[in-house]
Amino acid sequence: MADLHRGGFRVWEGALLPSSTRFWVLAASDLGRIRASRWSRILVYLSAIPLLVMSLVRFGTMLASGTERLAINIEVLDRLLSGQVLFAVLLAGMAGGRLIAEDRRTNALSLYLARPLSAGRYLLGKGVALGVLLASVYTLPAVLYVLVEALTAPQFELLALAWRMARTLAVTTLHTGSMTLLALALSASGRKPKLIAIAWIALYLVTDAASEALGGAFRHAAWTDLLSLRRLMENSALWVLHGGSGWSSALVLAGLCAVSVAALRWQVSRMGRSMVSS
Amino acid sequence: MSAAVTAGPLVAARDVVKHYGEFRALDRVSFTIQPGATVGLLGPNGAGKTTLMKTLLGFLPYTGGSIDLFGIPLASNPVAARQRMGFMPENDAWFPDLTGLQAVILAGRLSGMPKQEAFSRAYEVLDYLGLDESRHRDVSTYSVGMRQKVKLAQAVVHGPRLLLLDEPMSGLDPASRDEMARVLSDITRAGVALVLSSHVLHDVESLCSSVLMMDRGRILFDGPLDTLSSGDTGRLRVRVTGDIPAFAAALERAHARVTASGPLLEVVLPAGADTSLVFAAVREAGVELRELESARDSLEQAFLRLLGRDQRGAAADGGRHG
Repeated sequence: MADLHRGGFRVWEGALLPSSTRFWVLAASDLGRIRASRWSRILVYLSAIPLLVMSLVRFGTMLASGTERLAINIEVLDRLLSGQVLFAVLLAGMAGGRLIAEDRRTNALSLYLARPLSAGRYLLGKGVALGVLLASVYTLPAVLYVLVEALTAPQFELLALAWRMARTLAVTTLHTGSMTLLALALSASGRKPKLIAIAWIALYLVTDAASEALGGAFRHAAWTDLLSLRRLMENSALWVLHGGSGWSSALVLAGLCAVSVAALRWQVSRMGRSMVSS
Repeated sequence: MSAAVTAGPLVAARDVVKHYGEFRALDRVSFTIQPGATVGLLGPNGAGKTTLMKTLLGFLPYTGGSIDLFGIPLASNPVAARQRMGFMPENDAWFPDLTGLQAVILAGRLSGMPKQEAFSRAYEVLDYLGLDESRHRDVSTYSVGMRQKVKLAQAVVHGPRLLLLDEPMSGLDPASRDEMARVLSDITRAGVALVLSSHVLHDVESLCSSVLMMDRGRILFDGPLDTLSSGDTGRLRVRVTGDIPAFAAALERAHARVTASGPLLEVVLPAGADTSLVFAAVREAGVELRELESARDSLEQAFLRLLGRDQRGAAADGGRHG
């Protein structure tokens, strides 16, 4: 009490920065929060292990066989990606599920949206935070492995590397982007981060199991793939990489993402309307 | 994109209408808030205070009329209009997993403050509010009073010209209420305009110089607190010695209404009469006049009087229409 008016109140007179990049401030703050979570850190560290092992195996094989170059086996990258996606799914549930749910639980939305920050930029900030996190466990190892392959391949062709890199980026961006949107939409639907994380992981596993069971019952009819989140993403990725029949999965996934964006916008603006309580 | 601080009013609302379906939550609301003004937003539940607050923050689109904040039309650019505005919500709210210091820095940066300045200003504001010892603790571990202070720190960190405060004393013990009142008073002395929504009339009386009183979406009163509490000019407080019943009877014969409370009488003069009626009654009753002054309402009395008048008016309107 005695200290309270020490020096009196001073109005800050400085110039304010433009609002267009303010979502970065929010994204950086959220990434800091995620980094502070022990389980998130553990998952991020663990996600580097497959890349390290596979790179070591590749270099080790080279050394053991005494050759300077190794042929590229395109299945290895697919196997790496299918392993890394599990880290991304777990992090999308554990870290992504918290991002909006925690703001709802602590009524932080009334603090965010009362500042010069639109609902759209708020969502963009959250999306960038989760997208960067997922990219760090999914896109980054894949990109690094493609570089390792290029360094150890028989001929180093820049064009071939660029093409392989572009396809890898396209697939991983498709996965991280859709997971980000779906996880955020789920996060905005409640106030209990743990329940949301469980619901997200259950959604991933249950839809896959249901698709598998129905696939068995209906002779692996193509429509059963549309019920599984995992298969939707896999088939969409195959369609991006090779074309073919995965377009229906890509279409369903795009529809799910569009519904997620609409649900997010509706939910956040609804929360804005209901958050002043005088 | 810093909001230009105009020489004109900070808020200029003209005939603002807001409908929720058929229900008219704001009914042609017009008012202005000048730089440095301290305005109490009063009204019973359902009066439209919340809707007005949400509308000023840009959370709710309005159906008709116009609102300019700092000279910027709110409808066309709510984000820019909020640039120099601070808001302290009533409900318990904090940025999750952040310390007090981190929360205030984040609030400053989200308002557009450069990183270094947000950092040093957050230290300054928390120090000013007496949270210097606990600034490195997670806000979720703070007491209610400390959280209120952090909310205030977040609202003022970026140098707002207008502060919207929604029940800032809510949940505080008497000592903390006094402390908060002194802080807010100090902030307004620095030239920050304040709109204070509160159900506690004493808070409004102690912090605000003018009042915006609402009921059923309309503004019942918009003006200085003094004008509101001075009430009807025909109300007098009279103290006499001598035969008080005779004096009261003389006043009533002259069609004045008299309420006695010991030696003190509250007299409501009939329309068109002035204090000469009291002097005539003094002579008639042979009493000695000790005190004669215009009766001033407390804010609470004025509030209830205006509200009662409005409700009688509405009932009469209803009767006529019915």
